[in-house]
Amino acid sequence: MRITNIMLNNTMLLNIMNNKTALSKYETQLSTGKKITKPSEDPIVAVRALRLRASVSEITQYKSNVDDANSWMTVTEKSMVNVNDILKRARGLTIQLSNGALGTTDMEKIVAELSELKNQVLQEGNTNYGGRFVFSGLKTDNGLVFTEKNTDTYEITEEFNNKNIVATQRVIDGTPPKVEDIYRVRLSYDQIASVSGTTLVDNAGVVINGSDGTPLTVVTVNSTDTNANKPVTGDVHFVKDTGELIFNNVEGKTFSLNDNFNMKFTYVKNSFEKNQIKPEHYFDCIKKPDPLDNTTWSNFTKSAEGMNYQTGYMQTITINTLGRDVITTDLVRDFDEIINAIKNYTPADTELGVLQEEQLSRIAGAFISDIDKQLANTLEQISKSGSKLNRLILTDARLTDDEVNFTDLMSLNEDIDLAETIVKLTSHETVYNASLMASGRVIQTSLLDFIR
Amino acid sequence: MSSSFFGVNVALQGLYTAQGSLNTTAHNISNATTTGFSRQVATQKATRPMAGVGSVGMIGTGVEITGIEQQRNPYYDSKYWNNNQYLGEYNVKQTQLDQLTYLFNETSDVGLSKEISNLYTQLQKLSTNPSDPSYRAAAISSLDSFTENFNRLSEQLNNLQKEANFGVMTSVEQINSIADQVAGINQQIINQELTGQKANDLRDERNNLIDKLSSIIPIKVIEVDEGMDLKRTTIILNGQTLVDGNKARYLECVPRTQLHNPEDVPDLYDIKWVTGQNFYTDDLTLSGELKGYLDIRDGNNNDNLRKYVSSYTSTLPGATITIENPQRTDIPASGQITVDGIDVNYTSFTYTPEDTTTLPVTPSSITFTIDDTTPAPATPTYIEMGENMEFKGIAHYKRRLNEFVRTFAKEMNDIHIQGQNLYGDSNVLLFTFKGYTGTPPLNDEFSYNQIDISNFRINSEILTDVNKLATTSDVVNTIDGTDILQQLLNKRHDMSMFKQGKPENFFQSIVAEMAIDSKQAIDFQKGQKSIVSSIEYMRQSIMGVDANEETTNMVKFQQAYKLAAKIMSVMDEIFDVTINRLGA
Repeated sequence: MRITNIMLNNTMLLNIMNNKTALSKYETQLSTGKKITKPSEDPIVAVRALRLRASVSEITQYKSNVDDANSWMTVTEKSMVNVNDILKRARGLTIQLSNGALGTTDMEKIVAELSELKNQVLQEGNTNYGGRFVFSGLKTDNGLVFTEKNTDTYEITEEFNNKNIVATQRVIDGTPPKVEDIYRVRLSYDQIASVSGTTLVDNAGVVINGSDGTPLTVVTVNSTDTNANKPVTGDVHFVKDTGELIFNNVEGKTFSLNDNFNMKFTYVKNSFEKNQIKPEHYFDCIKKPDPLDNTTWSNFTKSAEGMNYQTGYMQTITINTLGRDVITTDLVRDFDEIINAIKNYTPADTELGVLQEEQLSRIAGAFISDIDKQLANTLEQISKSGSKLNRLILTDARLTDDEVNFTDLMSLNEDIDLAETIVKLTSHETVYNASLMASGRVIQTSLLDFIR
Repeated sequence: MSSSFFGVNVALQGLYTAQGSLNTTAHNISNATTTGFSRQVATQKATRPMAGVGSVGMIGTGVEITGIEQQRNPYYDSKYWNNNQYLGEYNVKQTQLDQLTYLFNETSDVGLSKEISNLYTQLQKLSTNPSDPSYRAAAISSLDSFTENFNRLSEQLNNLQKEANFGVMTSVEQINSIADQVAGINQQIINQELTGQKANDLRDERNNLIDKLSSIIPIKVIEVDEGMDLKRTTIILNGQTLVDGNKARYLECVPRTQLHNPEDVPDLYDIKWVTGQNFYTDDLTLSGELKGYLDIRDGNNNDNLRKYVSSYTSTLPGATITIENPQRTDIPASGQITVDGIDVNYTSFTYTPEDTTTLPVTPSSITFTIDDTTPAPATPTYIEMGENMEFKGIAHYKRRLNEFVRTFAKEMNDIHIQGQNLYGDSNVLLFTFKGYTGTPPLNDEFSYNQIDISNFRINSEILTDVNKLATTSDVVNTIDGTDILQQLLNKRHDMSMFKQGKPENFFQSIVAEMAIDSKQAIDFQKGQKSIVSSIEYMRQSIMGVDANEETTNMVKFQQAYKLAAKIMSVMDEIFDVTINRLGA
C-alpha cells in the first residue's frame, strides 16, 4: 500500500492528539480531584453522585435539627430543675409552719416568702429559648402566664370526674363553733365573673340530676354568705370569689363514690393578675379580646401540642414539655390556699381559735402532701426529658456515622485515587513524549536529503 | 531509408515528454498540501512505429504524453460521502448535548438537584421554628430561587432551541451555496471535457464541495454518460434532485405559523424547496448536520399528540374532531393539527376529564373546533400534532421539566391550601405562575397546564408577605405547629409522585438520560470519526502526493530529459559530420 506524506502526517497528528486527550483527562482529574467533570463521561457515577449528595444534605439538616432540639431541651430541663428547687424550698417552709409555735412576724415572713416562691414557679412558666416560650406547646408566641394585669374576657370550660369532688373540713363559727365536712370541686381560678348556665352537665352535655331526680341547680353565692357552704338538696353552690363548687353533703358523697361520674363546668373570668396562668394553655376556652365586640372570639382547644423535630426520614422526636404538665393549676391553688389560710389566721385562746389552728395545720399538712406529689411529677417530667435527651445524643451519634459513611461513599464514587492517577499521568506523559520524538524523526527526512 | 532528421524528431519528442512529466511532477509537488487534491500522472506511450525500409521491421518513432490522469477511486469517494453524514450528525449532537448538559449543570453545586435539596433543607430548618419571620424568609427565598432557576433554565433552553434553529438555517444556506457552486463547476467541466480530456483540478474542486455537503445531508452523486464525452453529474438528496448538471435547485427556510410541539419557541423554521414542494425532514434516512440540528431542536421522544379520531362532526361552520385518551393535554388554545396528512387549524379545543363516577367509564377526551378556512378531510381518521421525532431534544427536556413543575406545584399546593397562614387564612396557593389572577383557578390537573417552566413562580403574595406561608393547619392553637410543613417535607420521599419516583429521582433520571445520550453521541462521533478517517486514509493512499515518489519522478524525468538532450547533441554532431565534413 502506498503511504503518502499526508497519510503519515494525519496519522501522526491523530496519535499525538489522542495522547494529548489522555494527558488532558488526567490533568483535569488531578487538578479537580474528581473522576468526572461532565455527566456524559460516566452517567452512572454522575447519577450516583447526585443521589449521595441528596442523602448527605438531608443528613446534615437532620444533624442541625438535633443540635437545635438539644439546646431547646436543655433550656426546658434547666427550668424544670428550678421549679423543683423552688417547690423543695416551699416544702421546707411549710414544715416549719406545721411544727407550730410561730409568732405573727414569722408567719408574715412565711407568707411573704411563699408568695414569692409561687411567683417564681409561675415565672418559670415563661421561660423562653430564642424568644419562643418553651412551655407553651405550639403557641410559642404566647407565654404561659400573664406578665401584667389583664382584663380580657375568657369563657373557660373545665372537666372534672368523681376524684375531683373532695371532702374537706371547714371551721364554722357558731355556738359552739364546729368543724364540718363539705364536698367541693375546686375550679382552677378564683375571683370568677359569672357562670354560664344554671344546670350541671356531664362531659357529653347531658344534664346531671340531683338525688331527688330533678336537675341540679347552680346557685351563685359569695363565700361570706351565710350557708354558703351548705347547699340544700338539689342545689350546687358556685362560690364566685373562691372559685369553688360546693355540693350538698348527700349528693357530694354519692357523686364522689361514683366512678362513672364526670361533669364539665363553663364560667367566665375577666380579670387576671400578673403571674396568673393563661387559660388558653390549659383549657378549652374562648377569648374575647375586645369587651365591646361581642362577635370576635378566638377559639382555643386543648389540641396535641407536641413540637416534633425530624431526626430522620419518618423519625420524629417531640422536644417540648407542656407547661400544664409541670406547673399545674392545682399547684397554684394549693399555694393560694395555704397563703390565704395563714393570712386569715389570728391566734386566739378561744374555742374557735383552737379549731382554726388545727385547720391551719391540716391545710399545711395537705399542702406538704400535695407538694410531694408535685415534686414527684416534676421529677418525672425531668427524667422524661432527660431520657429524650439521651435518645437525641444517640441519634446524633448515628447521624454522624451516617454522614461519615455517605461522605466516604461520595468520595469513593467521585474522587480519584491520587497515586493511581499520577502513575497514569506519568505513563501517558512518557508515551506522549515518545510519540513526539518519533514524529519529529519521521517528518524531518525525505529522499531529497540523500540526493547529491 | 528514413528521413535524415528522423532521429532529431524522436529526440525532440523525448524532450517534450520528459518536460511534460516534469511539469506534472511540479504540479503535484506544488499541490502536495492542497485539500482534496488528487495526484496526477502523465501517461505516456510510444508513438506509432513506422515500417522500416525493406525487411528491417518497425522503427520506433518516439514517445508522447497521451493524457494527464488523476489518481482517484470513486468507490472510496462514495464510501466517504455515505459515512461522512453520520459524522456530521453526531458532531452536532455531541456539541449541542454538551451545551444542554452545561445548562443543567447538575454535577456542579448550582443545578436543579442542588436547588431542590436546598429547598428541603430550608423547609426542614423552618420546621424547627416555623413562626419566626427570619426562618420563614429564608425558606421563602429558597422557594423563590427554586422557581427562578426553572425560569432561567427555560430562557436558556429557548436560546439553545433558537441556536439549533439557526443551525438549521445555516445548514440550508450551506446546501444552497454548495449546490450553486457545484452547478457552476459542472458547466465548466462540461466545457473543458468537450476536448476529451479530464478536467482534473475542477473535478477535485467539485469533490471537495461534495465532501462538505456530505457532512450536512445524505447525498447520492450520479454521473451519467451522455455520449460524445459529455457527462452529466446529478446530486440527489433525500430522493429529490439538488443539482442536475448545470442547474441547481434551492431549499428555503419558512418560519412556522403554528407551533409543532407545545413547548417550542415561536417562528422555528420549516424547510421547503423554493419550488414549493415539501422537504421531508421526518424521513428516517435523513442524517447529517441538518438532522443533528433538527433532532436537537424538535426531538420529542415520540411524545407528540397523535390519535385516531373517535368521532367528528362536519357541519360548517364549526366542524369538530374528537379524540379519546389523549397522550397530553398541554396544547395551545388554538393551533394546528395534521389530519390525515393535511394541515388543519383549530380555533379552540375543550378537554373533558375521565369520568369514573358512572359506568361505563367515560374516557378523557379532547374536542377540536376546526377553523372553517382550513377544512379537514370529510372523514378524518387520524390526527397528529407536530412531528413524531424519536430523539430526546430540547422539546423533550422542556416537556419533562414542565411535567415536573406542574406535578410538583400541584402536589405541594394541595397540601399548602389546607394549612393556615399567620393570618388564619387557608386556601392560599404555594406555587402559581407569572400573571396568575385566580381565573381560571388552579385546581384540577388540567388547570395546572397553565404553568410551565418559563412562568413557574412562588405565589407572589407569599413572596411579599412571609406571614402568608402556611406551616400548620390551626394557627390559633398551634402557631408553631408543623403538620402542614411535615407533609410538604414528606413529599421529598413520595415515591409515587412521578413515574421516576420522588422529586430528586426525577432530576436524576433527567441527568441520566442526558448523560447517556450525550455519551452515546460522543461514542458514535468517535466511532464514526475513525471510520471516516480510515476511508480518508484509503483515499489518501491513492490520491495523496508522496514526496519521495515525486523526488524519484523528478530525478527520473530529469535523467530522461538529459538523455533526450544528449541524443539531440549526438544528432547534431551527426549532421555536422554529414553536412560539413563529408566530401569537404
